[in-house]
Amino acid sequence: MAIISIFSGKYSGAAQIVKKLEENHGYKVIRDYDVIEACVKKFNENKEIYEKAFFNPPSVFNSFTREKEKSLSEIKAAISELLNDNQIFYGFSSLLIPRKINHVVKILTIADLQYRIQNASNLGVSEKNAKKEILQADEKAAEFSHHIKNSGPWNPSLYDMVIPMDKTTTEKAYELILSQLGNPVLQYSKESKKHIEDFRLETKVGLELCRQGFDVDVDANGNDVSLTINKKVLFLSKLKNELTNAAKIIEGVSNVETKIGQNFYKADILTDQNFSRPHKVLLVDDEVDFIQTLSERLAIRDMPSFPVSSGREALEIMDRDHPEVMVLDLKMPGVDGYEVLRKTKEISPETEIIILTGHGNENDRTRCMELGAFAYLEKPADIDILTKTMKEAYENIQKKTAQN
Amino acid sequence: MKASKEIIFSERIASSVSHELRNILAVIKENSGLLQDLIMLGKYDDSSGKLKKITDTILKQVSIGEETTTHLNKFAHLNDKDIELFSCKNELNELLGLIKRPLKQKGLDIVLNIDEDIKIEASRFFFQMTLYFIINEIIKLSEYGSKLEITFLKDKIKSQIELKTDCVLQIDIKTLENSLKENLAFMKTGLDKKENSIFLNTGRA
Repeated sequence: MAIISIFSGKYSGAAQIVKKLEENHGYKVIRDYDVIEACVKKFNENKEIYEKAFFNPPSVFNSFTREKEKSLSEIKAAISELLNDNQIFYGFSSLLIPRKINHVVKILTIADLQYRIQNASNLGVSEKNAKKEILQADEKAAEFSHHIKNSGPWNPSLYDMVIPMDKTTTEKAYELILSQLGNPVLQYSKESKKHIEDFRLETKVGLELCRQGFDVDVDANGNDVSLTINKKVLFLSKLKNELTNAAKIIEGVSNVETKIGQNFYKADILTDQNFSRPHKVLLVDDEVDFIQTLSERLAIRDMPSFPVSSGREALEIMDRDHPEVMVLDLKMPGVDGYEVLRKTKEISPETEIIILTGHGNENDRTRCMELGAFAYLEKPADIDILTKTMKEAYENIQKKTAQN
Repeated sequence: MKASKEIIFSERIASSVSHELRNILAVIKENSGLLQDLIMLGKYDDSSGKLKKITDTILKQVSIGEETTTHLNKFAHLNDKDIELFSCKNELNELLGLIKRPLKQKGLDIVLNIDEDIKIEASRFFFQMTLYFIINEIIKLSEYGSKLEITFLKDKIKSQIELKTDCVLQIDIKTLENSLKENLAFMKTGLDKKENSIFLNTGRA
């Protein structure tokens, strides 16, 4: 029997269809939280990591930590193992199933805002709350879809069937899906079995390469694996060699081909993980010219960072993304460095803070060190001293983690 | 031994200016360092305008630094003459140039209505010091992002400098006047307060 994948706008009426398919035809419904549970079991990680990967925007550090990509690789690996006949993948995870598996029918149910608000109201949700929930859910859906597909979630080309629920009834939509399930193209076949196996190998290779710090698209055909580089690379031939060497030792892989994708020049790629430097560095200084240039110079030294120009922004990021090392100015308009230092040590005591100030004096130094700063440097500081101090701060974190 | 007001004022100015200069030097150092990094990486091509942006930033910071050191140099010569006839507008602008850092830190929006200058005969050092302590009191007591409007008032009888904020000023004018009494006596003047304004009397018109 075909596998059904359903993505829907919140309160678009998909839940009723899923329920009918489950009750009348014995389909097993796999929701995002079932996938998360499978990931937790398989990879022994906290479920929050996978919740974030599904439902939160990427961390500001993601472009260099690739945390989201790693979690999504694990989610895809879990999905590839869960895939079985008579299933309905319902939710964000439905978007992660490749289209080439031909006995998976991909369905989108959507409706206009008015219909969705009315549908929510029938479920006892007030108009105001329904509107808020719908907008939030659409925002999350758009963010997720753009991240994995580079396209909005309502793009019809992502699906085999798009059902506008405001122009039909639940009963008719249900009948339409049932009628499609009888289509011979959607029946389980040797070919579709092979595509599932290819998907499993792709997720396995993708996860292993992601763990090694590579960010490439993986395509498998039997034991042949094709790796597409879609980012800007400094030393292409070196990267190709590294990718080939890393992929060909993975069980199930015989041949590896590397290719250049159409987004080849767009962004940076990490060719390897440097374990001796912090991966999540936050720079906080109201001097924008200073902080942006410093961030560029650190990036050249293989120490990527995220610059912000106010204490308020620093605290927002601290709350959400917990940087490992923070380089912090003291005298800033609004929320000053002392307040950021004090609050950070409350919220995230493991974050190491290096004060970098132009207002240096002994009293400030003593006060900062008492508040838990790791080091106190004065502007203008030497880049080598700063990077050395940042590495020491990171070593300190690792030491503390090992002790705990 | 308690430091005199004059020493405290000079120290605060030195602290504000050195903070400003350190920041300027830090931006110059990072930008010239980046230039060096790019040269080392062999990136001489400036089609993206990156190198120009770096040199523009350096030149902009040098210009700010020059302006700051000019203010500092003038400050160092405030006591060359005990008493002289001077423009309050010039002295106010000099002082604001010296305390840019604390003003920025408090997000204070300064509005100047000083087109009609006031000229007085007194000590420039004491004039700037008196204004500094009044502004400093306003900085301490006002909320972040407040407005400070400085207006020169002149009529047939007297001239005054009004410092008005858009937040409720909890300044005890007597205490402030008392703390500045030597300055004020030296300048033969006094302070007044009305609602959110402090008036520095600058003498007869």
